[in-house]
Amino acid sequence: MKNLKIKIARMEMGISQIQLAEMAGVTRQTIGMIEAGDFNPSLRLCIDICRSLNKTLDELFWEEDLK
Amino acid sequence: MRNGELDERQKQKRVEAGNRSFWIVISLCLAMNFITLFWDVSDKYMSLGYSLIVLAGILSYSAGNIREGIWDSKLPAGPLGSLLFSFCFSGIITIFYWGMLIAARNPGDDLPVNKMAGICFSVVFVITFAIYFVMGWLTDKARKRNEEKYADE
Repeated sequence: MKNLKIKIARMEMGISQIQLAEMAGVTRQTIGMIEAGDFNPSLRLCIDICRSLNKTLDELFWEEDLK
Repeated sequence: MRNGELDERQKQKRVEAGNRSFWIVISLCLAMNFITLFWDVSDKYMSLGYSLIVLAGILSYSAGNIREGIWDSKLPAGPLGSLLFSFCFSGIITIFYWGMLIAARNPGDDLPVNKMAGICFSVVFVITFAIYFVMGWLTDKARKRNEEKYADE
């Protein structure tokens, strides 16, 4: 499932995938894969992404509609 | 991220490739053991069989890395890097080979050790360079393909 929340948060901050990747300490490809839903990041990486985007884990990774 | 460092996704993919190769090698070894139980296989063919199994494991691991665009980020890349790596690698192999020839030589033997070591160096150098260069090229291609697939829209 695509993670559009990260993409939206990134766009709100006006930063590119490369910039977010540098902030989170991963490659741009990894950020692209997370946004595309092709890679499940570890909790550590989720926290790093949240910190980089000034968001909480709930805001970026919690999926309300999943049961 | 430092240059040449792998991130968590790449490390995961590398571990997956390693696991896959491990089970391929184990399965092939078991198959080989069964074959040797039921058929009379000479030492020469057994040695060849196990060498091929090791090669299959290495190829499987390499293919897994190449597909993810992570052949080996710590080694030098490009034609010059491939040349440098091949030169060093074939040099090390040749030194061992030369030492083995010297050790195995009988006092009366007229073995052309230097010539054989030279041939060894040339052959290993060419093979290493070709494999390393092709693998680097394939990795680069896979990396670019992934870059395009997950491009920032």
